[in-house]
Amino acid sequence: MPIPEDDQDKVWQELAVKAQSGDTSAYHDLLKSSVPVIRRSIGRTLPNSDVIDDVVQDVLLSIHKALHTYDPERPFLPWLMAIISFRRTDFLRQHYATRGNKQVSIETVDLPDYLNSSESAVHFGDVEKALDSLPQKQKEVVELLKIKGYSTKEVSEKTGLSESAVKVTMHRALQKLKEKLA
Amino acid sequence: MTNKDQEIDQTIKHLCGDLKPVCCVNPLWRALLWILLVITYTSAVAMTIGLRDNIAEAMNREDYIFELMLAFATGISASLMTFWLSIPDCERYKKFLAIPLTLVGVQFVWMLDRLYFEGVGNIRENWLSHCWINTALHTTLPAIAVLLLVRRGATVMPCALASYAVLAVSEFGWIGMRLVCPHDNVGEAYFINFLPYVIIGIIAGIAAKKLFRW
Repeated sequence: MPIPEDDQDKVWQELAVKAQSGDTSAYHDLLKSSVPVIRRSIGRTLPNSDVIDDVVQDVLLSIHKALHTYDPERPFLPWLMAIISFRRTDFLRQHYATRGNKQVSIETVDLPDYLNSSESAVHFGDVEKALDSLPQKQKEVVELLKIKGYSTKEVSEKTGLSESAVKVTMHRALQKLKEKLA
Repeated sequence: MTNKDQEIDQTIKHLCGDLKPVCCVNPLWRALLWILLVITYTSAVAMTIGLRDNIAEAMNREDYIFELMLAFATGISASLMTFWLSIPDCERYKKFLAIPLTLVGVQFVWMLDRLYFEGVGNIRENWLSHCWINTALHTTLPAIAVLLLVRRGATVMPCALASYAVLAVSEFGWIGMRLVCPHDNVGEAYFINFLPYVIIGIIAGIAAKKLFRW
């Protein structure tokens, strides 16, 4: 059963006072019980769930640095919330300054599962058949250039063709694929 | 338990290992300590430089007393705000933010009023070597003291704190200048004796986040 907010604050107040006098176990309990509150508070506003735990750690470090500024006569939660809000703003400022909002982790990109989706398998089965019907050289160039993502120069080195020959081969292959898939 | 949870547990253990008994910071006591220090220092510097020749005559002028009292009230309120903003739980003091700003607004209106009716007045040629050196004497130590005292806190409003700190130092420095500078015209009293603070204020505002990082 969750503890009511007022009672929780009294518990935190007592733990914080003990922590200020150097009680390690009270300090451990204080930090440990603050983590869910910190996580919940920042989780709602941060753009990326990956960074929540980093900000939680930042807040914990800030609590440690600012413990001497806590007034034992005052409730603990407003003090904690002020620190959380400050660190969250700090993080967001840095995040937007470094264009972190434009970056997406490769693990979090929500791509459709083309390989296992039966609907996609029908479409991509046709593409695969069309690719198989191409002459070996053209097929190799398409795979290297369009599927594996090599540059024209790299494909030229791998296949022994000149760069312009790679471009011509690619162009012809695309024309054939277009005709077959039309 | 995930890796992230384990990392947080590790951090908590590490922080517990670093724990040392700490003394509580009382912003009010610090503010009073600084105000006492700055009043003593400003008086001492004014005595050392030498009070203005016409101090007795000036003390009988209502406008001069009004200006000093206004600056003193602004300085005291800005000092209290500076130290109150130096702790994270400063939300309850935000209602007082307007007091120093209103007082400084009154000062500004007063200056404009005098400028309109009296004009700029004569400015001495040696103001750079004379006035600005005295200004620096009046403000350097209080500025260092406020910086050191405030950095021992943990502010969540660094820019506002820097602005109020500059305002507090300026007002007390300005009072010091009014005690030693015999010229009360708008040009000297406000433009020459207040201008350095404006420059310091702009620099402090830019550097605030770095100065008060914690």
